[in-house]
Amino acid sequence: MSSRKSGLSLDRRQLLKVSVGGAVALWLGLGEQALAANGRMKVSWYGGQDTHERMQKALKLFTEKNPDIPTTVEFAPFNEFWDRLPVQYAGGGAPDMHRHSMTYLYSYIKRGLLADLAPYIGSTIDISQLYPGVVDIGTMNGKTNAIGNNQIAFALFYNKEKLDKAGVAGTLDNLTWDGFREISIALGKAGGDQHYGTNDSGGVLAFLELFVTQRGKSLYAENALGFEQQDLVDWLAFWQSMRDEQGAPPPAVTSESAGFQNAPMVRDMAAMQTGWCQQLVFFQALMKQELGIHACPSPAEGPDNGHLIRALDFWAVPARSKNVDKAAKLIDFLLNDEEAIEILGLTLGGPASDKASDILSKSVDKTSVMVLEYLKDLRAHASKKTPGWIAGHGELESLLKRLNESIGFAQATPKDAADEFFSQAVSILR
Amino acid sequence: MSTITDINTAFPIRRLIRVGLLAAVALLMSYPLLWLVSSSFKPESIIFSDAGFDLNHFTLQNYIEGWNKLGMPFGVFMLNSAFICLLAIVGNLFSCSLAAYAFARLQFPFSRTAFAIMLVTLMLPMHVTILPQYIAFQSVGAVNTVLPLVLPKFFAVDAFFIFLLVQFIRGIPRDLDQAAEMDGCNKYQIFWYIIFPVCRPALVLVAIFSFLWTWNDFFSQLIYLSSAENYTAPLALNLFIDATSGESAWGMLFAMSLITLLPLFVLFMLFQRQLAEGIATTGLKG
Repeated sequence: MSSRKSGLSLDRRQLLKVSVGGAVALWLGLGEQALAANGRMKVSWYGGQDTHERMQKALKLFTEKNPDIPTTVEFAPFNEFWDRLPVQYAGGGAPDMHRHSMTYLYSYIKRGLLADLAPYIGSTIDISQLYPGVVDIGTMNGKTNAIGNNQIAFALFYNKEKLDKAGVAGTLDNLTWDGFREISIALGKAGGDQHYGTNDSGGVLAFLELFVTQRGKSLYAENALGFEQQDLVDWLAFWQSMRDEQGAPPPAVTSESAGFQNAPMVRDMAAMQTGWCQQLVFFQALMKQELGIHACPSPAEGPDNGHLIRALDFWAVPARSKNVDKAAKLIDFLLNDEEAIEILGLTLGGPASDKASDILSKSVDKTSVMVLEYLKDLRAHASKKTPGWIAGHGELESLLKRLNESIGFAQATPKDAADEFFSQAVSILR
Repeated sequence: MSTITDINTAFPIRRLIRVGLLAAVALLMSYPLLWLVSSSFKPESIIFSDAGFDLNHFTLQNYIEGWNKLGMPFGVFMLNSAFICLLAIVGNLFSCSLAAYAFARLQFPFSRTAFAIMLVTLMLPMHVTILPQYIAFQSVGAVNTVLPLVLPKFFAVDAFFIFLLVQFIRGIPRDLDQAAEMDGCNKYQIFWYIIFPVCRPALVLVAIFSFLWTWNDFFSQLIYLSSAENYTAPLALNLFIDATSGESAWGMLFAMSLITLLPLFVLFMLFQRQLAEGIATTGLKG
């Protein structure tokens, strides 16, 4: 009995020793590793698997060319990236250089979380080749807190076969808003029941921005909306008139269309789709029929077609980073190094310079070339402005989407919805 | 026993209806799972266009490609998950049972207050503590290691398990303690020889729930594990889908999800009886 007892009691002590000792060993062992990683520059981004692979490849090349700058990488899909980043910023563990999105950029700048890169521009970061807007858009009050890593624009995608069949293929040139509506309705009717011209874009804030820019206004002016209530009424009424006659699907269909694979065009329910130009590649990957890309509708007269070509994703460095100079070097590398440009392709968006555009048009696939051509053509007609979005943009986007939907469900008139949007915008943008 | 068979043979139709109904409901409830299984064996292009169960296009491609899609074998992520789970289980078993023993049997100043405070932490949403915790772990350089995920488990932070074990220990007759005390056991020995072994059904429950919750955890793993080679299975699965970039590998996601579900499935099969027993004896039942 006693021997059994002592044997067991030894077990207990062993258990204690193992657990306590194990925990301490773990602490020491892993802590050291973490400390060793501190000298490295931590680079982080969001995106899909293609982005992860290309970015890692580009960074490997960077370390080869700069052996004195060791790097570590972190990546996650968009939503999860933005779940993690605020915690990292608050806890002091933010990456030294990371991808930033227009959706959140201005709240980070406003709170002073980002380092000023202006001292590095011209010396470490060569901007001579970049399009003018690339740096301007991240510059406020003389401080450059973020540098664009791409330039993209809104576009209209279409299913070539369906346009041919409906006999409207030639009408896309000099497309006006009335023309857009006519084509959409014709395409919807040509498809028969459960078919529509284009996706319902009444809730897309970036498309509304294009619409108000064409009217000589802007989405935001300082910290408020930059357009009139009547503009929004016209916009919402336009989309209601589309829904009324099969030009756009009813809200029940639209609410099921989140994600590229569920878009009405992919599900063979619509002939056209609006989106950011590089998304053409994503849609084409999901469809057998050949797609085309075209500028969105614009008024017949006007100085330009109101399209905005600008960066929506950026490279940014936290103000607390100890490696700002190294990060600047990496930003320069990713924007200007010919090999890096080729490795990255269109995964981050459209090219940020003519040089990049030329390199890419030789190396990318057919669909991507169409995107490059689209951007190139568009530059001749687009607005020269590169306005940014302000804090609250994401909230306004979901508000607009909801209001557009309630009009579709006949719960509100365009007038009511516009009133609601303007009254809520005041508190959102405050 | 014989009466049950009598009833069953006496009303075969009624029994048939009952079983048929149960089977139908079970099938309905498991439809999403069955859909997941069948989709994982389909080529990506027909998963959404062809929503039925037909396996005419049967392929293992999703498994083969998905396993290596993320730059390293998916097994790495499974092992990361398993490692964290194992430590979480050991930690919870060790610390929660000790804490529960103290609350249930020992008398110390402010024990009631301490117990109440412990219960209050049950109601504390995790988001309140995550930031201070992150700052603490960041300052000792433990972020991007498993420490933030497993170390707290060794300090009895899962109040739910403590509560569960306290309830169970309170149901153990004090005569057992006294008998052990007569034999010369001190408080630690009473715990080790009497309480701990008798708690087995409850401890199995603690172990299984620790495993389930850790295996299925997402947010804290996302916050603390930042580099891909440390990712756990849920974080790795998440990499297959990115809403903004359009390239989503649903087929591979389904295939790898199924593989991630397997350990849970096996565990449930193995411990089904103990699980039911544990729930029935710990006062967890409704």
